[in-house]
Amino acid sequence: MRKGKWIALLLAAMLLLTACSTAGKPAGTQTPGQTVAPPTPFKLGLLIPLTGVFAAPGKYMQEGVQLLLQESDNKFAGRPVEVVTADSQGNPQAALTQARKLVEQDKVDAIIGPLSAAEGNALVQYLDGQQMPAVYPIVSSDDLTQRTIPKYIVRTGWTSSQTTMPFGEYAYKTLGYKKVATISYDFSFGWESVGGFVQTFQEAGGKVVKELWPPLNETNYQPYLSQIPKDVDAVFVSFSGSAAIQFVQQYKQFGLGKPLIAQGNTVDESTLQATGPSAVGVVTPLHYSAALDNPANKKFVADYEKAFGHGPAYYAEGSYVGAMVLKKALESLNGKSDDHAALVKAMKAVNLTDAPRGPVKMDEYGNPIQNVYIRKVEDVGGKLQNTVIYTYPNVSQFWSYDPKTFLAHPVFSRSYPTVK
Amino acid sequence: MEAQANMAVAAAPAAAESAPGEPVAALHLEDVKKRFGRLSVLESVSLTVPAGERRGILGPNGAGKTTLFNLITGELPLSGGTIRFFGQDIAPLSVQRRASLGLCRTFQTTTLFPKLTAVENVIVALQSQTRARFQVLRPRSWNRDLEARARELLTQAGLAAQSDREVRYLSHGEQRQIEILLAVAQKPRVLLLDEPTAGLAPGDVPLVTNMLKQLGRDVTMVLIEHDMSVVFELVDRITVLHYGRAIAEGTVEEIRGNALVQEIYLGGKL
Amino acid sequence: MRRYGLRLSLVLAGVAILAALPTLGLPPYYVSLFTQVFILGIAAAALDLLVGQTGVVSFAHASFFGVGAYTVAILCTRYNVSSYVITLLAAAAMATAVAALFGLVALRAEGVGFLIITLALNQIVWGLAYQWVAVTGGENGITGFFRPPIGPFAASNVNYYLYALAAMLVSVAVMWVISHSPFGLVLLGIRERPRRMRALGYNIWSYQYAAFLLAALFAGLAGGLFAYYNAFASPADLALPLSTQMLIMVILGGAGTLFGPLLGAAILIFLSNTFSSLTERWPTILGIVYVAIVMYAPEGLLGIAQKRLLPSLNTWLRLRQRREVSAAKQSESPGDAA
Repeated sequence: MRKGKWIALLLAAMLLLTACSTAGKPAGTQTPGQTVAPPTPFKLGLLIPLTGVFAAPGKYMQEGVQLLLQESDNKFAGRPVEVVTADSQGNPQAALTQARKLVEQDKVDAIIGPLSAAEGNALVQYLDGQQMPAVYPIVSSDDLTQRTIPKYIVRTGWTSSQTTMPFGEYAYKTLGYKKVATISYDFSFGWESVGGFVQTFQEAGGKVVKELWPPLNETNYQPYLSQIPKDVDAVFVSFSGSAAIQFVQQYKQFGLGKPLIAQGNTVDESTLQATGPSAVGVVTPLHYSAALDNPANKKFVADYEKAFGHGPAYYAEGSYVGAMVLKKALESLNGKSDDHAALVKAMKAVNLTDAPRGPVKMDEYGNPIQNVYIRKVEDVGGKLQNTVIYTYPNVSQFWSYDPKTFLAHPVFSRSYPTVK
Repeated sequence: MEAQANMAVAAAPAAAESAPGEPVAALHLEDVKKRFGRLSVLESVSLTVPAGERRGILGPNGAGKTTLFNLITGELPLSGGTIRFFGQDIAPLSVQRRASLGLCRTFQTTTLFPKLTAVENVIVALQSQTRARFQVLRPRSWNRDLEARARELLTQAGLAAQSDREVRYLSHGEQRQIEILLAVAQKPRVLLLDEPTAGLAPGDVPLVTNMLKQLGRDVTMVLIEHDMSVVFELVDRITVLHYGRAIAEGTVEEIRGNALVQEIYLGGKL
Repeated sequence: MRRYGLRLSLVLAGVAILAALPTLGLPPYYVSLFTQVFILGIAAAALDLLVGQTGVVSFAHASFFGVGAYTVAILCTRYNVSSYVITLLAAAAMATAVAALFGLVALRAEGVGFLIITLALNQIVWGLAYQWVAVTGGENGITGFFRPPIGPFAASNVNYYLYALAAMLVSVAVMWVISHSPFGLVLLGIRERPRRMRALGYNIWSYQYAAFLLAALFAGLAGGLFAYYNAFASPADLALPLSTQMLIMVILGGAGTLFGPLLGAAILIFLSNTFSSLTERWPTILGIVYVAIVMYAPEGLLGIAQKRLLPSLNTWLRLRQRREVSAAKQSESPGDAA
């Protein structure tokens, strides 16, 4: 029983320590700027899931930022960069608490993160309220940069339907599929991926004969696969992480014999090797592929492999580019980050020509206009990769639609667009 | 205690069902059976305990004595037969419903609230009889009358000094006494006592028997007990159970002289 | 009263310190962490009413918390209700209504059966929050509402901290009365000896049902406060991990102590947020801490404190008193002699 007391004391001591460690901090960050003072560090908050279901992609995000800092000699516009990493746990509530810590406790100058749409949405109001410049490199929920636009958040990633709208057209016109069934995650990422695809595929003349939505925690997809009509030309799916691995493997085993096409991160490099040979031949759209053949990407992949012992995935490239946008914006402001609105404005004005994914510039809604690559999984010397087979250049989140007409429609959901 | 005697008379709703002229029995069991799967524990037991009587139930281990109690209180469902409590068929009633009619029991193994004090234990039993049991937003320390009554009962039992100790720290004898106090606090009309002196040192037995002797005749008592001296001291009549049947019934003297009972107990010192 | 004298003064001192903390310069991040502790503390204490007092372990607690959160979020966004009283009462009422339904299903079973059913019910509510997009906003939850002013005061973080603190005090005071009421005594009896309680004429089911509803009521209230605190409601507010966390809070702090779960909430929230910024292995560290506490202080931290620290504090106070008295005597006696 004496031990119980000791543990209680230890815990109490730890609580005290955390309380004390805060006492000295706030004063230090606001040293008065002298004319020839050493540059104040730029504090970068990295808010990513390091635990929970998104821990693996979160790790890639961390590495992406790390690599850009290495290449930048750990300096943005001459200011040393101090990274404060916080674990968002893939949970909106935890993400918000950690955002509070980064802003109020660590007094960061900008935030990069988070990963999931739910986390991203939960932070909008807080970040805007605090006027905290934030880069969203991965969060892809369409409406974040559409109907109501946050003032302090810059998305350097993509919208879920940005890739699937061109892909719907590609599937009909180039791949020649007339009848397609879809199976996808039953939440917004899935609906938006499928919605974009269905929209343009139907407009081109294709027919979506069945839409299936397995629940989030489903691990056995047989019951859904058996509902697919036998006369479809292909099956379009949208999954990620372990669900993607399981689905792709089970699809192959089920033996439907129809081509599998998917949203890009279903066969993302982060899970591709684990998925194995079942993935070969899957055609997907995404704004990046580690197998992209351009000098910037070749260098990025080589450096990345050297630094971390494994290749990058889109999560890594995403946060690498996110950090790059922040860096360029700071450079354009000569390192001044006090005016947060100006920093955000500068980020939105960034025009990248040498990002691994290709050219990137922001539209007026704060979402990148960038290439969408149609990729096919191939086995190259025993290693799977997403070989780029076609490029849609400079695709906006509205695809070929007029933004006004596009925004007059509801956000893609289970019930929109309707399947004809 | 007086009040409850009145209640006992008033609350015999099914009195009309019994034969005219004959007083209503406190407990009337007819052809009671209990089977567990294919195992028959009680073959057929019929038993009538008139109000106010003290009845002993004897029988070797496995005769079905405790099972009989569990059937009467409703902890086990009947496999057959009827049980009437002051004329009322109680088979459809739940355990708590029967208890609130005044059919109360003690347990063979002490079943108290170990982490509550002696007073609190008795209060739990006392408040089951009052509207206090529904009070949610009122500290129970405001119910001074209940606490006073509980302390009075403990004092009567000679347990005043132990009142504020958690019962798990009390001696076995004291726990057995409180076991009975809880049932008494319920204002029983029929009290089923399952080996009240079980595990007691011989010197402590009178603590319990004296408590039971003090109970008024308004309480009908049915007693399972292995200690023959306790049985003979307390009861008016005895029913002997053997392999799930009531094989003999009579006064203490009759049972002492019953050859069949002698035989069953294999020369036991009845 | 004498029995509670020392405890009461400890509690009052604690409250005074907590109320003063923001003005004493508690950094804003800790203001928000404490606010979280107060709110989750209400829910954990309510769960303790069920786990510690009644002996019924429920995994559905987060669902009531979440229903409260969504009720507030929906009232704020769709009906523009700006009164805390109305929204929070509605949150508590909705949670209680859901519990009234769940209780009918879950309380048909006991022990592990009950546990599994509550677990399943919690999953159903979570699934509903995820899928019923028209009402709940799906996985993205409901955002886009703000805290209205608190009476004449602005809805600043510090004021909301005080508001949550007050809500916690009132809730816990009410729960204290409940746990010390005749009803509370019956719950304790049910926890320890259900068989005896039946034999005493108590309808166990209805008491457990009532306790289940009361726990849900406070969980709903807490959920409502949480929605205001976050300015959003999301499926994470009613996910199973939250149910588990609340149970951990109860066990860490000490089941059946009512105040212990508040301590448990503080430990869980502070440790997870502190460790998570030090290392990504923080769940492991927390796990080890929990296991250690459960192994070496199975009564929970407050249980241990009550058993070990309180008596020694009492003795110390008594000794000091005696010493003062004898010192006073000594100082008097020479005067007498002179």
